[in-house]
Amino acid sequence: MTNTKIGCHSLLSYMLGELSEKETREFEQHMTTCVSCQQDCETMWHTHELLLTKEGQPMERDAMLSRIRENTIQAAFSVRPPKKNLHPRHAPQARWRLFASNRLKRSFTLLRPRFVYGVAALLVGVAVGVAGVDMGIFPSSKQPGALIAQLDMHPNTAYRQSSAMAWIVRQNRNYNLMVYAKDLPQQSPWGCYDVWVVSGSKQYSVAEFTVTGRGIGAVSAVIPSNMQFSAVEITLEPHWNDPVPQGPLVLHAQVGNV
Amino acid sequence: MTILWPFPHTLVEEAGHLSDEELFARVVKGDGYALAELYDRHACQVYAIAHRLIADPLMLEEVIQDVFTKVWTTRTFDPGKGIFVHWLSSVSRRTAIDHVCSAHRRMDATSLELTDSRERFRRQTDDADFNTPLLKSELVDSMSHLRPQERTVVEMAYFQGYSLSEIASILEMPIGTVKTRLHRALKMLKSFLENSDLEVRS
Repeated sequence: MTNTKIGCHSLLSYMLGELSEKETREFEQHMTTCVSCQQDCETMWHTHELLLTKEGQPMERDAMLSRIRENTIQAAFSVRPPKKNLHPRHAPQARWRLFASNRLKRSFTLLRPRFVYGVAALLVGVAVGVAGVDMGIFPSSKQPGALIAQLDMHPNTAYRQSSAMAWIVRQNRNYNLMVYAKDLPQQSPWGCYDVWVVSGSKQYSVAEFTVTGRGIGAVSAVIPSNMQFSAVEITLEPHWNDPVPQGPLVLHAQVGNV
Repeated sequence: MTILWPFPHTLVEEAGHLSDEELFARVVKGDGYALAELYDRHACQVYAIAHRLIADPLMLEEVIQDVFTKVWTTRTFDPGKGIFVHWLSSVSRRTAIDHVCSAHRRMDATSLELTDSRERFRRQTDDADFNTPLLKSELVDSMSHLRPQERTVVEMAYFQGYSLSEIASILEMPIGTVKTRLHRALKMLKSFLENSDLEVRS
């Protein structure tokens, strides 16, 4: 089916999942402006859903869905890791298990007072520490930052109009990497720009950012001082949080060994 | 200062107040908790759609995993334009049909008895009695009111896994006619269902 054929007559193909991904996107765009398709879809959806589904035995179904829940989520994470690491142990429990389990509720009730005392002790400790520094009782742990390198990043051929500056500042026991870029093309709705540091033959993602409507973006990242890296790169990624670069190289700069 | 404790449960409670589209927008940004919430809300629906076409529990599990991997990695759904449930239904059905067809291709490689995967698919669904007896009772009654040509199109599209163009080819009619019949059948079924609902209430 070609693009020109997408229109009101594509509604049933859309409902039955017969459009390609591109055509689905186009039809959803069409639906936003076509009142007739919206009404038809609303009218037919309930019957369509009744025909499309077969409930099966609820006990059997719930047992299966509960059993495969963690594997399903981890299978998805193996393709693209989550932004925050979600270990199966920490994954939120399914509602039917969470609320059915009195044991879990009991353990939570037992943990709560200990946690409150722990947080209270921590807050008191922080308050004493801050007050001590202000009063000059304890020496301040602040140290002056030192500029290690200022980098004028070079655009890749396809992104000649783009430019970026990066600064590496050593502070305390870390490096702070700051990047300011301008005249970058807009990222896709799901995408972002990713800042990588190159260490040996490997690239490590240290920060991600999106650009404003005028193509300007900025980000900072903290890098451990024991990490050796020789270059900084910016790529345009199709997803957030890709573990290795998936998109094109946009800007790069050599920094020598830091 | 807001203390988040217990951290994951707080996020679950927060996610519980969000719409599907808002959750999907979080999934796009790599929020694993949002994916878990979408699973809890819609795994039953994905199961029911796949179960219409697939009897094998192992294949059902594979389909559910594939669908939620697509939810996690897709760039095709725009939460600003479409309704998440509609998109998910389409993806679930397409994934289920793809799995059945690829399983049949694997079987066809070792067996020459049935070379047409669609034919095998149709026979499987017939053998497994995936027809009207397994429909909800009110729908069974409504199906009996349809004209034979409309009923045939509904059965081929929903119970035998044929695409609209395949139905057009088999019934030797333009695809536009197939769509018109299916469109009319769905509207008539809705009308019959509403009437029967009213009768029950009265």
